[in-house]
Amino acid sequence: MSQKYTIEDLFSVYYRPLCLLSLHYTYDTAASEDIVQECFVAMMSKTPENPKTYLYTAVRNRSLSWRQRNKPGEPLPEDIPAPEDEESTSIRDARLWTAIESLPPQRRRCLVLAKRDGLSYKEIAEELGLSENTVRNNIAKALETLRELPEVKKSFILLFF
Amino acid sequence: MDSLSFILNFFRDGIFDGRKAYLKLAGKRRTVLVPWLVAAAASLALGVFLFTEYRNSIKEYYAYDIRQEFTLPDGTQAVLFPGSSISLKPHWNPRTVNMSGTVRFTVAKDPAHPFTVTAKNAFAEVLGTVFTLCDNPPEITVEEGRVRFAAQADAEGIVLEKGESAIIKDGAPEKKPLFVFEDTPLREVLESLSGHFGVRLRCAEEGKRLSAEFKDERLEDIILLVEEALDVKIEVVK
Repeated sequence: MSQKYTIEDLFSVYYRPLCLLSLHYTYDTAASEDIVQECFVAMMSKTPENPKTYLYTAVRNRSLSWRQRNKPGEPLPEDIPAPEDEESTSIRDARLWTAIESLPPQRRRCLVLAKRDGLSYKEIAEELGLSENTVRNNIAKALETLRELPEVKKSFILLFF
Repeated sequence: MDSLSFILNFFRDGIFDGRKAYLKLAGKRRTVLVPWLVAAAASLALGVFLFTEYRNSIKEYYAYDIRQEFTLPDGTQAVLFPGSSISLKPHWNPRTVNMSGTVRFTVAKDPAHPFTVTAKNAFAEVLGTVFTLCDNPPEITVEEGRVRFAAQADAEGIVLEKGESAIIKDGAPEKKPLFVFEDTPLREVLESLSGHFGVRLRCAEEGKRLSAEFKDERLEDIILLVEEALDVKIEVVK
């Protein structure tokens, strides 16, 4: 196992899923990225038997203690995956993230401004210098692309229809 | 909250990038390592430099206007005639000596380590002996023991024994005649030969004069040559 992945492989396969796992605890992208990097650095000095298991455990523990430090007393979010589901959930999340990233830039910007920042089509149109129609069209096409992903099909329908 | 809206809530371009993180962390490790490596390499280089300097440090001996006698690090006695100098590397090989001028060496015996003397035009290698080397003109006189004498260290050279002298002529060593007689009375000739070979030589016509050079001929041959040249009869008295 220890020879199965190089450090570089582990980064390219598990870095993003681990960030997204941590994000379920922190709700803070910068904090999650720091946590995951600390875990990788710790792993590199230890070379554990099973690097993947080590990383998931380390990220979970560090994310929990980050939460206790930064959001004391707040209850844990409900959608934190159970340890046995951590890998599959985080990899699915990572695929979604990558799918959004891979959208054509204008479609992606319109989608993110609408869904993350809660801007109206009109506000997005002003922000990006586009017509409202173009914004609407962009978001529709972006959602269409994401809808095709097997990972999202079910939840997508629930969310948008 | 479902996955897609959760992710869309936090999505930002260019973050959670494993490739970037790997390069950043690998780069960090490199910047930590590089000064360390440079420092290690620098101190190693300094160490090698100092060691080389130490090994290559040179000890020099001079005789200016009067004859000087020195004991070299290996115990060899060196008599430097006026205007002569020798140098050696005591921490590299104290039995490899460079010289100029005229120096008489009484070499400390050390069969495992040949004692070598290099001069501008001459080279001598010995184990333990007494000899005098002059570098200009190159000439060696061996008083005790055996010496390999050559124009330079990598030349084959000749082996000289007790009592022999040699010069460098046209880049090659050449034994000097043991005896050089120029219009010398036969009485003196016989005295020289007697002294060298440890015998007594007698002749009825000791007033005759001889001009001749002898190198390493045997005594019998020398006697024959002299008898023939001067038409005399020489008697060996033991």
